[in-house]
Amino acid sequence: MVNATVDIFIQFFLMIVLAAGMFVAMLWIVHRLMPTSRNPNKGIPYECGVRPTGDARVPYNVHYYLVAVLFVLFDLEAVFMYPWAVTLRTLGTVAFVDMLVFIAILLVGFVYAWKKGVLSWE
Amino acid sequence: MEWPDITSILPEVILAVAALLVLLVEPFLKKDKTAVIALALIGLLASAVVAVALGGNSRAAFSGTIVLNSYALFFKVLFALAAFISILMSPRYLEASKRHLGEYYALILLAVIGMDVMAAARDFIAFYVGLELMAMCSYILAGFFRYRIRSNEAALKYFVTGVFASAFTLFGISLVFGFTGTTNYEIISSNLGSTGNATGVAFATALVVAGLGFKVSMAPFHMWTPDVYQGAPTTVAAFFSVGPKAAGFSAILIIFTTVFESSSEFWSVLFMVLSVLTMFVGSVMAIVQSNMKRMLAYSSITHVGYLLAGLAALGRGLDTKAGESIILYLAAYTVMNLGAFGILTYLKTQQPEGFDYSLKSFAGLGRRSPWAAILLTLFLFSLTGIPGTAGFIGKFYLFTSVVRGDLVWLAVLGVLFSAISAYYYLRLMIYMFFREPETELTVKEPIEGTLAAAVALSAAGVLFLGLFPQWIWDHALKAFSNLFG
Repeated sequence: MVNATVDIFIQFFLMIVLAAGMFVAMLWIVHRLMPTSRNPNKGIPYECGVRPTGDARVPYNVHYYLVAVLFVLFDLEAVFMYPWAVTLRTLGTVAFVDMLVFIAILLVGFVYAWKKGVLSWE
Repeated sequence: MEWPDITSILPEVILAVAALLVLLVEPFLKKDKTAVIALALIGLLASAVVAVALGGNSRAAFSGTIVLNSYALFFKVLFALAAFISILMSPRYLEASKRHLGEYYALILLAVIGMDVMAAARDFIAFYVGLELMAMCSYILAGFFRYRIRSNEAALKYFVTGVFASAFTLFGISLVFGFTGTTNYEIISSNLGSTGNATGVAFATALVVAGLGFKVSMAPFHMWTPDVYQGAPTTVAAFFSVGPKAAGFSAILIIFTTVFESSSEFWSVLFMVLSVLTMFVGSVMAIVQSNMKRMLAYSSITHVGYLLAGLAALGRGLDTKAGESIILYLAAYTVMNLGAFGILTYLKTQQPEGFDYSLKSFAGLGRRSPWAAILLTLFLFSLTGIPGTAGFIGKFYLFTSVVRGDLVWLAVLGVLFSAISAYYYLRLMIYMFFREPETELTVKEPIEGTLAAAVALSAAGVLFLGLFPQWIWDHALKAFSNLFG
């Protein structure tokens, strides 16, 4: 029992050492082999070959985030509906009612978001 | 596919419908939030009534992952009561803080669903879903005053540490699953002793203790408690101090008497050490607090220490009656702590700017607002454990069970720490009745409205449990007799 446990640990540590060694070795090889040419232009952020303008960290309208969250929510609803629709015949009425409950709950969220003005864009 | 047995989760379904209705109605309301408050209160009442009506004979649903028996019933009623009192004390406070939103009530209802599931779960996955539902709502509630930096701090601290603790719990659960290949409590409990190796089981036990220990704020996982209580809205802190703690203990009792039954000797010792540590940290830190919300936070940590002593006794055998004593203590603790926070809430609504929960701001309260002072005295007496109050009954049963578990030294330590706790509770009374205020704070109105109902309900609970303990003890016995059903 004890030997078996020790064996597992030896294997485990061997794996860690090998994984770390591989990682370091690859970095080292690349570092040795790559050609180096220093040029200030290489420090500039890459924006499809055009010179970058302005700061990337501009504040977005918070509405983007709200709409994004809503999108994820209803996107997931669709994800759940695919397997449900495929197996509905075998699952029968119970699954149908289950999905109605699920949609009803999401619908409450939708009405809530709508009334709170998440969808109105000015 | 067969129709699921919906009756065993009917209390939760009712709460969910109430929460959804609150969210549906809220956007259509203008200033007046009476409708959503009424909806929330009716939902809580209905769920408690349905639980009582159904809880007589135990039933299981969803392949035995959820049960409704007298144990789950006890906690469902307790959680509903805690949420009911918290909601009653909220409207005036939220109005005074200029942030009265209907979502608050929906979040509390959803948190109660999570707690109900934790007490009713007999499967790790169901338990974890309940835990997370409760936790998510708590994180949002902690940051409910999102324009205040302290509230944000509370939410962030609670969230980061809470997620960390959840990960610990999950790791422990995954180990247990690895040993037994199932998440069902009962099957695990019959297999874990034979299939799991002792070190691994001890490791899993410790991880689950760490994760749940965070939720009930046992030392050394208590660091978040004072900061969160201080930063969160007072009514939310009141709810946090009782709801999630009772839920955590409801899950601990189930998990440790079934899943980790085989390692009971180990966790009994573990809880002994944690109990002493928790009582010590709570008492010592409570003495030096000048902010009463922080003092109550540390006092709640001390109370968790007493409860852990009960758990240590539970590890020595079920015939110590430690489990029953723990749930009785939780009931007593719920009413007295909610009452104390209720009075703090009242004082804050009277002085949104001037009252800062500091010890000094209580000076002269006995003259200014005698009723508030007398009621707070009652709750503090109960927290200390003076005979005639719920706190005394709770401690009496709890320490008796600890003695029955052959842990006389732990019971003595518990009583000693109760004596120390008298210092910081009584100090507040001295300020209320015997100190003259430096700057005169005025009280605009007496305790009235729903806040009065909340405080009266708590006070009635404290006195009823304190004077007629047999009723609650009978229910605790009945609840625990059906733990495995």
